[in-house]
Amino acid sequence: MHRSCTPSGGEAMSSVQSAKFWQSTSLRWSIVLTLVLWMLTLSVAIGVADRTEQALLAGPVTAVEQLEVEFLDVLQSDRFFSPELVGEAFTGQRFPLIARDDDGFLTFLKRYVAQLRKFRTDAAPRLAAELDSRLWLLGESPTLELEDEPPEPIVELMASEVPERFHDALFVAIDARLEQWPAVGSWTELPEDTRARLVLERWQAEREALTESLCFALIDGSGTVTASNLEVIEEAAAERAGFEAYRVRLLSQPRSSEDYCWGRRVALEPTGTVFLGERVTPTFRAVLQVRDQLGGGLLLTFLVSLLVGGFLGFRIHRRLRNLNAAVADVRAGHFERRLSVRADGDDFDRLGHNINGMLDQLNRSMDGIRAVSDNIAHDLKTPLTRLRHQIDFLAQQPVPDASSVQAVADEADRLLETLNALLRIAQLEQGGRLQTVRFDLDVLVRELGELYEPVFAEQGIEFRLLAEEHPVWVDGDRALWLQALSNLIENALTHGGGQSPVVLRLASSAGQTIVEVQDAGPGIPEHEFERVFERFYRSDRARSRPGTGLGLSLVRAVADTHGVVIALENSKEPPAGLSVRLSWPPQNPA
Amino acid sequence: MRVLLVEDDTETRTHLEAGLTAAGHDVTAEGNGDTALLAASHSAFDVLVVDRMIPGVDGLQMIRALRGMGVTTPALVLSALGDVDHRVEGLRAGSDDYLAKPFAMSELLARIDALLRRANVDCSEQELREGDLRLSLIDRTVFRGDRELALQPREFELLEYLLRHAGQVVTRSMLLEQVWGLAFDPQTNVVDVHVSRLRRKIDRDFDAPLLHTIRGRGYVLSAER
Repeated sequence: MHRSCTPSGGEAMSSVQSAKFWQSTSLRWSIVLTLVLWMLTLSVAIGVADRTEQALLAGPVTAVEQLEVEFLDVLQSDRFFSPELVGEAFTGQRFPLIARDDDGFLTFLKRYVAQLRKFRTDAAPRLAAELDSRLWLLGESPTLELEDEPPEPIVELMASEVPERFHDALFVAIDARLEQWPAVGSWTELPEDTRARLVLERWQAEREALTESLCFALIDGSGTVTASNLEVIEEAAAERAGFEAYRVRLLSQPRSSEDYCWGRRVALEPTGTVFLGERVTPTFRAVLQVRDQLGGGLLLTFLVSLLVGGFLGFRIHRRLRNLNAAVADVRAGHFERRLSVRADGDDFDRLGHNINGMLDQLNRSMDGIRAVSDNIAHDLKTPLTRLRHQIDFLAQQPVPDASSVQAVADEADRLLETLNALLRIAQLEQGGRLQTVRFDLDVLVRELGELYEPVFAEQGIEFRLLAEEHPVWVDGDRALWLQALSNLIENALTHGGGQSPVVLRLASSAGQTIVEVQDAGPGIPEHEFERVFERFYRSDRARSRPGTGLGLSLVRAVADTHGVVIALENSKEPPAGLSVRLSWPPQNPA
Repeated sequence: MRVLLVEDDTETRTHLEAGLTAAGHDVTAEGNGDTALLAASHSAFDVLVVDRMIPGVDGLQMIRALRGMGVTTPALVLSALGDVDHRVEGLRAGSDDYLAKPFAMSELLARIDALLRRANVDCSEQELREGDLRLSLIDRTVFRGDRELALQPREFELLEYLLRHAGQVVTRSMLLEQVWGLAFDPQTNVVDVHVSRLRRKIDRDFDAPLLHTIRGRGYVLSAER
């Protein structure tokens, strides 16, 4: 581009370039919008996380509270079985049911006791202790030496050995017997931390079998952990006041990944504490972690989206700026300027391609207009020069004679006529307003025949009018058709070589309407058929005869506006000459 | 005759004013539609010559307004817009004639004369006369002296128009418009041919010619030449 030589173009360029990317309103808006969206997303996400956390915490809180109640309950209760207290006697032996259907409880009891005694005689020492416990509970062995109360599992075993219909009676008997238990106070007399340890150990055994998620640690007065089922990795944030949380590894599952325990402490008398907790679900942890990471993650997303958006925006801005610069250049008059377009085109390339196409089309149109105006200028120059000569001639005359003055006036009139014709054609070609009416083409053709018949007669040319006997209705601008058809008739008159006849024919049948003007003259060479419709085009033969060279251009313009097809032919049929045929499109009947 | 000339282009106005004054008219010239409307509604003119595109109210609006006020002064519209549809629009607005620019001074003068005459025409006339030529509008016959002339229908209309404007110059384009309804000038001398046919019928066998050609301007039907 030769920017330096076109100041206006240079200004346009600089004004385009000064619109910096970061000054663009769209960028500012997108930043604000991203920020607002980001904050909105953050608040929504935090809200969701909080609600999820509360919902997920509700479970563990209840569980820990129940655990605590249960623990204290057992700790304070007066009966607790532990192998440590009772020995390892109870391994769950099963005895066959020995009740018959018609037995009463006492009958059954006698048989049951007899059975127990029978087993006792040759039982191994471990089983013997269990059997002794049973017998003692049934009041059969009042002298039996037991260090401690027979444990609950023995009662449960007995319940399984006794038909259900005797359970009530059995438990009444057992309860009565337990009333007499001499060592009842021994459990509650144990120190509380010992009891706690025993309870915890038993729970661990039971719950591990059920894969329940108990976490515990027994801490003595000096802060030493004396019993625990876990190894603390680190303390974590507890989500609720009064609770503690730890990242741990469960001792029973040394190879498992880290767990998370959530619970609280129970103080023991006189010293020491117990931590009782629940292992919480991975989902819960995940949610908490998501919440913790939420702000940072979203901030990162925000920055990344800002960066990506900025990058894309900048790319678009840069391409639009190039586009703008190119269009501004064209505006400044560089019509040959084209946008650079890649073949593998995105939308911008397609836009650029279309703009290039548009510019090409505009250039072609402008070339066309330039050619036409050059023609017009050239063709008007000739008569104007002639006029100038005539005026010069008049100026030299001492007394200008009337005929010379008239000649000048005539020349001027012809020029005006030419200009009027040009304007009319231009208006038609630009889609000028038509006074469209439905009119009878037959009447119009007859009127023209009547108008021109004397002119032909005067020149000794035979004129034949072949019209229809009925109305031929067409829609169109009647005045324009009068002029167009009279142009054709006058062409036949001037260029028909003075040969007879000239035929004006209207034929209409089955929706087909044609008007034809045919002369008997020399015709025109076929290669000139298209050119004769151009403005000011005059074939070599016609050049010597009067005329503006616009007659057929007007006919073409009128025909085109009405959708009428115009065809030229050098007719072989007599009268062999040029035939101009107008064919109307089929019209709907009125 | 008092003519109100409304034209905004100073040069054209001066030229037209000179031409009209030379033809014996008493000319008031205005360059603006508003002042012209005021003048036309307050003083009596015989004819209005109005350019279509003028500052203030445009030519057609001005004529429409005058017709609304009941002013029937004949009006001739001058316009660079010479198309048929513009002509129709002009006539619909209440003007009496429409002349496309550019035009010859003689054409304008002839049309003004025709307008002034038309204003005085008595439409209930039954017979038109000039010298010894008589045209009966009732039974559509033409006599010169006591001899009946056989005319074609179009020749009759041509003669009627000439008789109605007897003594006035009638231009070719006026004849084309009024007799044939053509709004354009054909390249060939159609009008001349038709007029000379008519002339053969009404003048050939008689001593005093009635139909005269005014070179460069048109025709006059008159017994006084």
